[in-house]
Amino acid sequence: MKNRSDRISLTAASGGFTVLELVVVVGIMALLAAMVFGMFSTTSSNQQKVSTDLQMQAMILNSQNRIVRAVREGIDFILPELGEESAALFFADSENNIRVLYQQKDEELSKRTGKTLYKLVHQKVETKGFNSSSPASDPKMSSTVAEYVKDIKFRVSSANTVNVTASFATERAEFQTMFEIGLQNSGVVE
Amino acid sequence: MNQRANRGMTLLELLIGFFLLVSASIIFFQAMHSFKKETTFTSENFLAASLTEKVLEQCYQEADLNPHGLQAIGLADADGALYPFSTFVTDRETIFFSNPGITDTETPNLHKLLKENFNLKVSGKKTTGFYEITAGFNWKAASGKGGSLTSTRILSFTGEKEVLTTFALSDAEVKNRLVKDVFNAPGAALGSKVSSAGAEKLLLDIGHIYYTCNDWLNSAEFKDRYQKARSLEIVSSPASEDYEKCTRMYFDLARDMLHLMMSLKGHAEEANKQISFLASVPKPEKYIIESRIERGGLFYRQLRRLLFNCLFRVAERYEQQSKNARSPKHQRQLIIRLFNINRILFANRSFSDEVPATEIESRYRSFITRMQTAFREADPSIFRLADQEKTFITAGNLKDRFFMLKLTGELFATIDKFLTVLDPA
Repeated sequence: MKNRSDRISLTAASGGFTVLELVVVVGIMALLAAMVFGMFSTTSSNQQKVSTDLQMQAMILNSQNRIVRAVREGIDFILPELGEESAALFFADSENNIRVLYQQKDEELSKRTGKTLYKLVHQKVETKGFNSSSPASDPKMSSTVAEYVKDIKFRVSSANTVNVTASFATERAEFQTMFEIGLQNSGVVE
Repeated sequence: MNQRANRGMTLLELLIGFFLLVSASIIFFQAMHSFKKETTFTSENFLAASLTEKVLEQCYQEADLNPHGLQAIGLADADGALYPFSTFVTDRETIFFSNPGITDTETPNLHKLLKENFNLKVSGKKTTGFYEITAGFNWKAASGKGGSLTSTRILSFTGEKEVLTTFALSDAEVKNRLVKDVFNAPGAALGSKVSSAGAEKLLLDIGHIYYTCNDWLNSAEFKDRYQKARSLEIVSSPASEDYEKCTRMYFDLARDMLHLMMSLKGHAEEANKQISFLASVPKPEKYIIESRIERGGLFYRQLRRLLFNCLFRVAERYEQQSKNARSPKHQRQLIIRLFNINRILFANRSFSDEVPATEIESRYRSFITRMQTAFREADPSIFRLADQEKTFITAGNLKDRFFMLKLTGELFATIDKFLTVLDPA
C-alpha cells in the first residue's frame, strides 16, 4: 500500500503527462521531423543537382572555348559543303594542314552514365610530313576537345562561318548550346 | 535539487528546440534553393552570351560581304539607321536563327528553354565607317529578370575614299613641255607666252590631260603589261595559276588606269569651265592647243575604252574562276569582286563603246539571278546581297548606294564633256 501511495504522490508531484498530451507532442514532433527530413532530403538532392550543373557549365564552357580555338586556326572549310550539315568538320589551316573535329564513342562514359556519349576529337594531319604510302594517324596530333558529347552538328553557314549545335549530357542533366565560329582572316583584301 | 536536475526538458523546451531546428532548416533550404536558381541563371546567361556572339558573328559576315549588309539582313533602313529590333528566336522567327533553326524536333532542349522567353534585342547607331551595335537577350529567369548585352563595332564603310595615283605629272613638268611643244620656246615661262592667268591655267589643264594620257598609252611599261596579259589568255584552265595571274594583270591594269583617269578629272572639269580663255591664246599656237584638246580627249576616251575592256575580261575570268574555286572562301572572295566589277560596268553601261549597254544590263541581271539561285540555301548572305542589288536596280538608286559608281559615273561624263569642249553644240 505504501509503495502504491508513494507512486501516486510521486506522479502527482511531477505533473506527469496524460496519454493525450503525449500523443499530441509525439505527433507534432513526428510532423516536424518529417518536414525537416524532407527538407534535408530535398536540399541534399538540390545540392547534388547544383553541383552537377556547375560541373557541366564549366565543362561546356571549356569545351566550347576549345572548339572555337581549334576552328579559328582554320582558313578554309573542306567538309561539309557550304550550307550542309555534318557530325564532323574538316578544314584547312594556314599551313595547309588538314584538321578534323569528329566524334568518337566514349565507351567508359557511356557505360557509366547509361547514355551513348562521345568525345569530340581534334585530329591534325600535317600535309608536309604525310606519308601517303603508309597513311596512319599520328596520336600525338590528336587531342580531345570535348567530353560528355551527346550529339554535335557542324553546319557551314557561310564560306567563313560554321554554326555548331551541341548537346552535352551527364547522368543527371542535359544541356544544348548553339554557337557560331568564324575562320581566321587569311588577309586577302582588295 | 537532484530531482530537478534529472527532470530533463519540458515539452515546451523540446518544441522550441524543434521549431528552432526547423527554422534553421528552412533558412538553409531557401539559401540552397536560391543558389540553385542562381546556378540555372548562370547557365542561361552562358547560353545567352553564346547566342549573342552568333548574332554578332552573322552581322560581321554580312557587313564583310556587303557594305549595306545590315540593311540586307533587316537591321537598318535605307539611310543606314538601325531599326529597333526585338524578336523571339525559336521556330525560325528571325534570320539569325533560321539556318539552322531552333525547333522542337531539331533542338528540343534549346527550344523548350528559349521559346517565348528569350527575347533578342539589337540596337545601335551608325557612325562614320562603322556601326556601334549592342545585341543581347532578355529573359524571365527563375531568379528574376535575365539580361545579357554585348556591344561591338561593325565595319560598314560606304563613304568616300581618296584615290591616289603615282602617274600624275607635276605642274612644272607640264609647263616645260607646253612651252617647248606648243610655243617652241624651251625654258621659257608659260605665263610669258599667254595674256592672262586664266589662259595659263587652261593650257596647264589641257597639258595635263594630253601629256599624261599620251605618255601612258605610249609607255613601254603599259604596252608590255597589256601584251603579257593578252599572251596569258591562251591559258584556258580557270584553276591554273597562269589563269589567275592573267586576271590579276587585267585587274591591276584596270585599277591603274582608273586611278590615272581620276587624277585628270579635276583638270578636265576646269578645262570645260575655262575654255573661253582659249580665244586669248595667240595664233598659230591656238590651233596647236585645239589639236591637243582634241587628241587629249581622244586619248582620255581611249583609256576609258581600255578600262572597260579590262573590266569585261576581269568579270568573265572571275566568273570562270569562281566556278572552279579551290574553296568556298575563295569562291566568296571572287563573288564579292564579281559584284563590284559587274556593278561598275552596269552602272556605267551607257559609256561603253564596244559592248552594247543592253548586253551589259542583261549580263548583270543574269549574274544576279544565278547568284540568287545558287546561294539561296547554301549561303543566304550572298542570296541577300543579290536580292538587295536587284532591289536597288529596280528602285533606280544603285548609283546612290555605292560611292564608286558615283565616282566613275562623274568621271566618264566629264570625259564625254571634254571631248566636245571645242564644240559644245
